[in-house]
Formats: sequence, structure tokens, C-alpha cells
Amino acid sequence: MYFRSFLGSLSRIHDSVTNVFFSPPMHLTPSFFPSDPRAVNGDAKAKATDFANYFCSYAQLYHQKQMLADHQRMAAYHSAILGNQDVFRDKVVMDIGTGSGILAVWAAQAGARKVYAIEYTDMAKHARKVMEANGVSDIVEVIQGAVEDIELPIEADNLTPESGDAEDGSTRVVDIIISEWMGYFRKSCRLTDPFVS
Amino acid sequence: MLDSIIRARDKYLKKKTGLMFPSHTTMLWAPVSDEDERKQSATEYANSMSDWNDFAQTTHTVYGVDMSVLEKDFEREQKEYYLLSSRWSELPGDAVLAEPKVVKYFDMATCTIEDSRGIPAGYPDATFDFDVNGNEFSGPISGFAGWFTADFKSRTDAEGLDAPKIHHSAFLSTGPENG
Repeated sequence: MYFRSFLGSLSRIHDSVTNVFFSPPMHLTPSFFPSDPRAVNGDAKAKATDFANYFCSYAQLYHQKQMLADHQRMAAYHSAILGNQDVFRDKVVMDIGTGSGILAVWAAQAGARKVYAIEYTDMAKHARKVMEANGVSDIVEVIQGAVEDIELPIEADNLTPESGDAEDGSTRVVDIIISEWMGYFRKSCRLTDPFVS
Repeated sequence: MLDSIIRARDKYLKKKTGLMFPSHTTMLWAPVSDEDERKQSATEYANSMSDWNDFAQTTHTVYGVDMSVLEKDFEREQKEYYLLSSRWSELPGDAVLAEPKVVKYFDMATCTIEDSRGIPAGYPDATFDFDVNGNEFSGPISGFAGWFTADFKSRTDAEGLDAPKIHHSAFLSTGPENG
């Protein structure tokens, strides 16, 4: 009988110390959203903030295990990917924030031709082991880096970008993007340990 | 995180046939009761400020340097840390005190970086009315909780009409309707 959520900060309304934070109109500030640092300070600072805020905690297997133990989340992704193998067959998939790589394994099992599993943290090293142990390392390529910075080995993989809009710097070779960004929602290192569930 | 996904989508995903998993997401929120959590935060904050007073006093009497000029900055920093940050929590379904409201709905095929930044203050969308009927069994309002639902289904945007159809759609909620 439990659900996951984050407790918002606008809200300690019975606490006289913090009453002031409830008095403004109930709007959502940018800080409510995971992307806020970039919105305010630009990419460079945002990356540093991102790193400080959550990449650090995701580099631990403990946190991966905690997330993987969430059966509702796992079941939804499992049925979305393996229940739609017709959509995945022979496709190029990108899994952004692959973590220990389970979604990428499923994408490969669902018949994907190529899966790029992007992971910023050193969890990428664990993900590579997971691919090997599950017999999909020829399909899944774990790429460590920020998704903004990485280069896809499209030539080595014999992929041709969708034509028509090359001038915008795009390399449209991906058929399906998988991500579990909702789990990162306002997650922060210092608060993660006691409250992650 | 969402903004990174959007950047990757706009750079790598095929425009008309590409699929996003999940395809649509909704963020909801509602006032909740969790007095243990709220009191714990308040206590941690109070303890931290008490530590500061000990520190400032010691520094003054033992080392002869007045640090009290920094107290306001420290207080602000600690307040932000303990009282103004969101945190993850697991709540019982009956902690929710009012009908949840949609904060933001994202069509993952079309949402923009601008969308990912949230709702600008002052916009009509940025006002929420909650009907809370507190009684001896529920309440008080200790804070607000937010959560997501996610759909894995066919594209619904005009440009994606020819994209492959998802024949077995799936749905994920981290919210209280899961019980």
C-alpha cells in the first residue's frame, strides 16, 4: 500500500519557521524539474550540477538494485519492450541512462539489430559485464559519456542517417529511444540514501 | 535528465518513424500528510543551527575570531538543504489528502526543452486548487508529493502517423492508485 513520490519543498506549512515558503502563489518554480540548472545557468554549470546531484549515486550498484527491485516499473518496461517485439525487430535502439543495462538487454532480446546503451557513470563498466553475461554484447554497445557528448559509431555499424535534415547537425539513425528519466526526477545525492526506496 | 532525452531525440531519432519509450508521461501532485517526515526535517534543521552556535562560540572564545557574520548565510544554506529540497519518499495511499492534479503532460515525441523546464511562475497553468477535507483521521498537510505516470503506446502527434504502431501498449504509474 505504498507509492513512490517525492515530497515537495513548497510545503512545510505547519512549521512557523518555513511559513514564508508557502505564502507565494502555488506555482512551480524551475527547480521543480530535473533540468533546472541548465535552464538557468547554461550547459557547463548544469553538467557539474547534474554530476553532483545524481550521477554520483547512480554509480553504485546498491542504487541500481533498489531501482530494479521496483516491480511495477520493471513489469511495465518489460511488457512494453518484450510485448512489442514486432516493433523492435531489426531496429536501432538507444537506451539513455542505461545504468546496469537491463532495458538494453531486453531491447536486444526483443530483436533489435543494434542497441546503444548510454551511461554517464562508471556503471557503464558493470553494464558491459551484464551484456556479456546475457549473451547480447554483440548487439548492445555500452557507450560511457553524456548523451550530448558521445559519438555513435554509425560507420562501423553501417548505419545511414535519415536524409533531409543533415544541416541541423542531426544523425538520425535511431528507431527507438528508451529511457527511464522519471526515476531521476529531482533525485539528489545527499537525500537519496535515507529516502530512496 | 528530460532535457538530455529531448536533445538526444532531436539529434538521433528518426523524425517520422521514430518511437519514444515511454511515449507519453504525466506528472501529478497532491497535498499529502507525512508528519514524521516533516518533523524530521525540521529537527535536523534545528540541530544544524544549534551546531552552528556552538561552533561560532568556540571559534570566538578559543580562537578569537568572530564568525557570527556568516550566520545568516549558513542559515540560508541549511534551510535550503533541510527544508526547501524535494526528497524521495514512499507514502501510503491514504496519505494523499486531495484529488491529484496534473502538473505537466509530455508527449515525448514533441515536447521541447522549454517544456522540460517546468511551468513559468504566473502562468494560468501554474495555479492549482486542492480541495482538502481534513479530519481526525487525515491531515494535516505536511507537504506535497509528486509522481509520474508513463504510457508506452503509439505516437499521437501529426508527424508520427506513419510510425510503427504499438499493439500491446503498457502503462506505468508510481502513484497512489497502485495502492
